[in-house]
Amino acid sequence: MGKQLLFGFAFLLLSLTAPEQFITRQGTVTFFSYTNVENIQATNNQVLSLFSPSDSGIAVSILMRAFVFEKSLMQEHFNESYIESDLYPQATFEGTVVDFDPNIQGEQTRIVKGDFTLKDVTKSREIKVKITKTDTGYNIEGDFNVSIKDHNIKVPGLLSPNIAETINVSFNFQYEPYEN
Amino acid sequence: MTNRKLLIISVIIVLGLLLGGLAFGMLGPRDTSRIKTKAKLSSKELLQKTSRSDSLLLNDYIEKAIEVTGPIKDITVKDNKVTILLHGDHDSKLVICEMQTNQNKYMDQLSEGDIVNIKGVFKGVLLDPILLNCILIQKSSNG
Repeated sequence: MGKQLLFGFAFLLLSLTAPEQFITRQGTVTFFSYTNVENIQATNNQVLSLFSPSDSGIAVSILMRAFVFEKSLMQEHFNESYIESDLYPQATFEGTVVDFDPNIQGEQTRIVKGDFTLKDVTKSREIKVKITKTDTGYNIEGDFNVSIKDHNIKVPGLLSPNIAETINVSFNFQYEPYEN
Repeated sequence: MTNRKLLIISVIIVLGLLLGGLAFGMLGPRDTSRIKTKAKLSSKELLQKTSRSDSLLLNDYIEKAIEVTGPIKDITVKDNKVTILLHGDHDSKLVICEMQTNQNKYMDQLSEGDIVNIKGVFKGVLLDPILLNCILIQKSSNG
């Protein structure tokens, strides 16, 4: 909870101090779990993110309950057993784009360095992203892998063949100017 | 009826209930129109609750169906899913309603400024309150 408050403060600070920020309220985050038994995919189309090109800062906030699964039983297990969404309602990322050049028109591939927090466990991450300058803002997309053990996600023995130990997380954020 | 027959019938009934329950869970999300409405609010009222000290009261709404009425700020479409954004007092905060896909047929009738009454499952708040599996209850044109 303390880390979420800290993230909220960082998010507020980013929105108040940076000269020009870009926002998406409807970023997409999808995760995939591949096993021999079954493949599981869930998508959240309501992810919040702020991007500040002037200092390369990026902040992401994901409401865990807003992931949509194909099957409602999977969604229930995800929220109640694995993620414990009542206790840990959000996942967050806060970082900076290394060597970001706001003057480049079109695409640039960069590394984003930052802290990813899920279930109150924070891990440093370096994520390769493709940043595209658009007519009105920026598009940032990429993916990374998350080990479920790293974030204290416990899967009952009976279900362990169904859930991959490493989950692939992909994201796509289309930023527009933030008029706050 | 012998005890043996009674036992077999009981086992069949229990198995049927278990499989029925499992099948229900394995199907898609519940139809929001069948879920009891926990609260009815205007978009302005809902947004005020997110920024006031009583925002913790919103925890009572999590995973419950609520009805929200307000003017449409924008309608977006991504991966065949329509999201309606509702205004409050000002544009820095909006109510986000991701619609059920069976509602897509009604979206052509909607435009910015229309006052709509939407029912959806409340998931929580980031910058804005987020509702999923929303259905359109009522629409009245702007002006």
